[in-house]
Amino acid sequence: MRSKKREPSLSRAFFAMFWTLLTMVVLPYMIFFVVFERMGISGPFERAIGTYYETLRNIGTLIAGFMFLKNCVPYYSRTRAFGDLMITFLSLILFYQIFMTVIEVSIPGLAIAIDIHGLFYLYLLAALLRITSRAVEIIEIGGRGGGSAG
Amino acid sequence: MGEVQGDWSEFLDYLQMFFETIVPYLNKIYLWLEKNVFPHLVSVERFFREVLIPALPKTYEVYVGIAGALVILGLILYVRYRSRERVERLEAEAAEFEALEE
Repeated sequence: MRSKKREPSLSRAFFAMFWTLLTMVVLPYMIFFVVFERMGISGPFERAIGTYYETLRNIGTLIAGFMFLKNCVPYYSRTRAFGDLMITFLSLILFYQIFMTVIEVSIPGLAIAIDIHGLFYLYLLAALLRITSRAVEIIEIGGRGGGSAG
Repeated sequence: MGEVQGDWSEFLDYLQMFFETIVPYLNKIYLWLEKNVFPHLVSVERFFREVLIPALPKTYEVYVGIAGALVILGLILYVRYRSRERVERLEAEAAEFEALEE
């Protein structure tokens, strides 16, 4: 008896895509451009936030597409493993953009520069391990998957 | 329905103790990584900075198009999987019917 959870499901795919779009496109838009604009924040900080938002929106849209694709195929299949690999890679790009952006804020009497590129190296280390494991997964699943494939 | 009982300050004390215990070790691990591992990752970072990030498309429509293509591909794969599954089920039923007839 095959597990129901490992069967492809369109409703699950739509929900996965919907939630990804909500958390990575709609919610940041609301936070950055509705809340922050009402707070009246402007200047370099806002520019940095704008860059963040654009990156989140672009990569989030791609990740939503891959989430849909992943949930349309059986659990043990090359397509799903490829989707996982691409999501890992895309999140690496996302975290590169987020961690390597130096935010500089200066107001009279105070100047702040935030540079957290060490975090990117940490994330890169973890992501490289994950990418390797995903690549191995793609190879070991094989042509038509382990049993029922797509 | 009773009210939620409890004192958060005790929990926060334990949380602080936990972090005070673990942070020096985390610092050591991070410093070791920074000294021995991160220099090897600089080339990856350079590849990102000089090749990959400038090559990313600037317009949002491109990303929407790629995501839409992925959705269509997912739908095609889903329909293919379901039709194959249906054929397999019908064949199994036919075989069962033949076995019953015999």
